[in-house]
Amino acid sequence: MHISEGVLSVPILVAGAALTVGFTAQGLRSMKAEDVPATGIVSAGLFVASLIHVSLGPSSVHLLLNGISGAILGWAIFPACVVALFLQALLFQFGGLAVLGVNVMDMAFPGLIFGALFRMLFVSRGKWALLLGGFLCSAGGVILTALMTAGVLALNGEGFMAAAKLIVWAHIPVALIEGFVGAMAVLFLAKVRPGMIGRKQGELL
Amino acid sequence: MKKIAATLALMVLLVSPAWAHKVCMLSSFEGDSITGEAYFSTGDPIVGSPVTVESNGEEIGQGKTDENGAFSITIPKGVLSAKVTINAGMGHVAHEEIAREGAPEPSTATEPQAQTTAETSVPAVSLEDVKKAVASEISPVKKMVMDMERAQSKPDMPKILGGIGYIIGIVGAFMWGRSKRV
Repeated sequence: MHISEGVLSVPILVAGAALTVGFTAQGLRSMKAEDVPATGIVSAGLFVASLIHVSLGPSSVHLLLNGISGAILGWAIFPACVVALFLQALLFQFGGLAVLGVNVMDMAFPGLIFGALFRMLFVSRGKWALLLGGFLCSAGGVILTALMTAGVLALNGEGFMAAAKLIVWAHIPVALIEGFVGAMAVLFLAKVRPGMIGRKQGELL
Repeated sequence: MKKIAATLALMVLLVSPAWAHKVCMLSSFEGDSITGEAYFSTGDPIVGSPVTVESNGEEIGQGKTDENGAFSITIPKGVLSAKVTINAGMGHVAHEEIAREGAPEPSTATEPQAQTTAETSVPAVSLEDVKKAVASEISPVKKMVMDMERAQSKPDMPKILGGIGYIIGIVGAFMWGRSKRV
């Protein structure tokens, strides 16, 4: 899900960078001192998740973990994502520094949206709601990321429908796997650390 | 802290030989064509993706990768440098600038003069034969270079651990900055 360097036109790059700067500033403002370790762990998770690769015929796709990250971090997913993608660009040449803004938006924004949805709609409604919410929001994060990537490529000149179809189809299996991983992660967190998904110990399960 | 360590360990373990993708390409001049190979940083070949060749901003040839990720594109004579671009779709693109240095252009105009002296003792060896022989001798070396490039394009464990280390460092710096000074 990393758009390569040298694909997008300058206005798109600038817009992506500007949005990312704004959202990241908001993310940093929202972070309290006690949120920092969790942000770091999630950032490390995002950094490594892109290396877990699902081979699917001709295309090659990887886990994103942005939905579950958004559920844990809220706004702080932006700084976490900036750090993770920056290091990926630096160490592995995935994406690149010029497209960092666009790639962060593609990944962190769906995380923010679906994370918020998860906390609003699913968190305090019992075990099955937790599992369902974890699944839907993780899968949703992947699909929205795919759509946003297609949208960016469409703005850049590739036909939206063609690009979107290709990208969304390629990511449906990832969305399913990720939904499963997300549901398990949520269940684990609800048992062990409900504080990480916004609830006090003993309030869930 | 134990849990954090366990989580990190789990994340590292999960990263078996499965890596994310970056588009890699190797190409070179070969006679009057440009040949090469394209693959993801996973090592998987990029199949059926369009490859274009530009020289001085003008498109001079295009083709597609086959099922092994290989391509061969015929180019006009006299081209000394080219920019090869592969588009693997979904925003995955790689460029490579290549120049004709080690591979001189196939020339047929200047050969007869040099051959006249050799003709007396040795049966005539045509330029084509020499090229074929050299190409077959070189091919294992070429393959080795490609394999090395391939191995290098995969993210390796030190880099992954290094990245995680950076993140821990950033977290530490943040917490230090935010902690109340005594």
